[in-house]
Amino acid sequence: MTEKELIKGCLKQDRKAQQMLYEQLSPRMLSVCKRYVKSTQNAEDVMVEAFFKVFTKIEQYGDKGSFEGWVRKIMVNESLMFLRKRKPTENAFEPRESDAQQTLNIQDDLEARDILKLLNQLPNGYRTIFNLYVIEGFKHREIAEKLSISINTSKSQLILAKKKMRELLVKNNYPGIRATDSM
Amino acid sequence: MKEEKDLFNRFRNKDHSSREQPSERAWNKLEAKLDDHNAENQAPVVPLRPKFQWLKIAAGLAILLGTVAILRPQLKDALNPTQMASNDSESFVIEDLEYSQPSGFYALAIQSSKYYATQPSKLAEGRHEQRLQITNRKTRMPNRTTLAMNESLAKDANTLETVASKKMNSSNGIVSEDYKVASATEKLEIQEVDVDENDLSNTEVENTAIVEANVEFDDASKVTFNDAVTDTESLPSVSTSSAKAVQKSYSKSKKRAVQHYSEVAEENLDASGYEKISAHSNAIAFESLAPSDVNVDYFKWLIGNWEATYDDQSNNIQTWEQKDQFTLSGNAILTINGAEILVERMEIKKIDDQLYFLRVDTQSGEVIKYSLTSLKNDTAVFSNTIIKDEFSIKLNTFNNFSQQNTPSGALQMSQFPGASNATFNFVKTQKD
Repeated sequence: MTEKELIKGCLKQDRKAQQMLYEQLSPRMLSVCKRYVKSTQNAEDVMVEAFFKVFTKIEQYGDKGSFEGWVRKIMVNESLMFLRKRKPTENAFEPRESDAQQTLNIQDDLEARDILKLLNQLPNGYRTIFNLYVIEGFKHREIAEKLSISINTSKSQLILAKKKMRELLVKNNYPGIRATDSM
Repeated sequence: MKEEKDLFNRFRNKDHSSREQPSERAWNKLEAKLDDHNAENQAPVVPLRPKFQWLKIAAGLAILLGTVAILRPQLKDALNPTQMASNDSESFVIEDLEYSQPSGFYALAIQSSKYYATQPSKLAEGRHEQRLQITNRKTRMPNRTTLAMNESLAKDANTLETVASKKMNSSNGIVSEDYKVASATEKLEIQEVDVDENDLSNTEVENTAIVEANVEFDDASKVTFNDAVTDTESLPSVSTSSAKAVQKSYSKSKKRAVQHYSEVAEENLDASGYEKISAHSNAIAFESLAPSDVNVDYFKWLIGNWEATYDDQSNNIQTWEQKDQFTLSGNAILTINGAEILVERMEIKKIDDQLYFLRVDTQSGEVIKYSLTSLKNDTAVFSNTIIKDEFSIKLNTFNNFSQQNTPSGALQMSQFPGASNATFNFVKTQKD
């Protein structure tokens, strides 16, 4: 079945089509959620919630643009909502020193799992903004709207996140990166 | 730096290709949620018993007849496209303007771009009842605004001698029979080019402010402006400071756009008698220069004799006295070769809440009525908007008009644009 046929089936709430679409997209979407939500268990819960929204609001997709891109946006929003709910009294976008540090052994090229490990070493706020800007490609204005922060906060947090990422890369002996490089 | 950019691109590419198989539990959970959702959304179906089958048929027939009855006039209209077209209407957002005292208050309803319509205008300066405020919100004519405008227009119209009577027509939103806003539109857009600080190819930032406004009154007076300003600036260099440069450039350009907007508005609004008190990217406010509480006591320093001597040795002597609580009256006598000619009678008079300067031409008996439009820096300006004439009274040496008993001030009376902008300088020759 093609993606279009699957979407058509999902519009009719056809369970088989829903399952097939889920099986096609869930491995990619789980890795999206895991970038924001560290624990696999929580990331799966977030993904389930997001897929539930995808299937119950699928008529809002309206065949505009990439379907996967639309699903991905829902995953990101759901992940952000999870982070916001989880720490209602804390500013999730401020760095926290308590985040665990892991040492990697990066020889030459980065594999996806290495990236995830590096991201997991960033504090929550840095990781979120780094994810949204570097990986999802959102603009600062969009990030500011999504996180209810100012554009300047988004920019400064990104600079700090990149700095932290550079330190991690240096620490893990990634070739070609110096501690003093500018962003 | 380049390596890092490549690295982050690689981050993006790698991440987009990464996959992780979820556990079986995830699908089971999702399926259960979907089942619950479907169950909630399905209304219970109660089967009809066979003996009520006729009810089903009757209900079906009733729905069918009802639908035909509703659609009949529309079907008729469909056969008559002209009539259909005349019923077209455009919806618009209605929003109330805030006001406390409507006197002296103008509100021009205008249309705006979607972006700025969502931004609240922050215009808090100045006295509300004296504020001429222009915002670029969508057209809005709710009751309170209409009332404010009507009262303002009616009041203004009272000062215009050629307009005899005012009948308000509330069904049209704004307006009097003689003086109404025919159309009012305005649009301000500031277009920004987004500059990605990581994109090294961007070396310029461009902002364009497009300002359009058009307000017409059916007495042929009109406020129109339409202009655009584009501001392009080169970034000093593309470096780590580019983000700062872009920010700086944005705010500078926005400031210029606002400045430009207010300048254009001022130039075109004929806002004499008003002073700009505030301008924002989506709104501009003016405050009336004429204080509403001023009365004839303000001009008591005029009482007494004033003399002006001209080049041809003729003299103009003005004599001012207080006629009653609300009126100061004055005569202007021209002395030529010893002969005295009464050339003008004048009054400064409070009528209702407004102060007027009345000039009576002794030859024709015609009364010209000027209303106080500005009182600032010891200069009072009285205007007649119908004959587009202004008359100013200026007291040069006094700090302010309240120092009534200082006799040595030089009174300067100017009339413009008539009489070639003539200015007469009088010196006080006798105390009151």
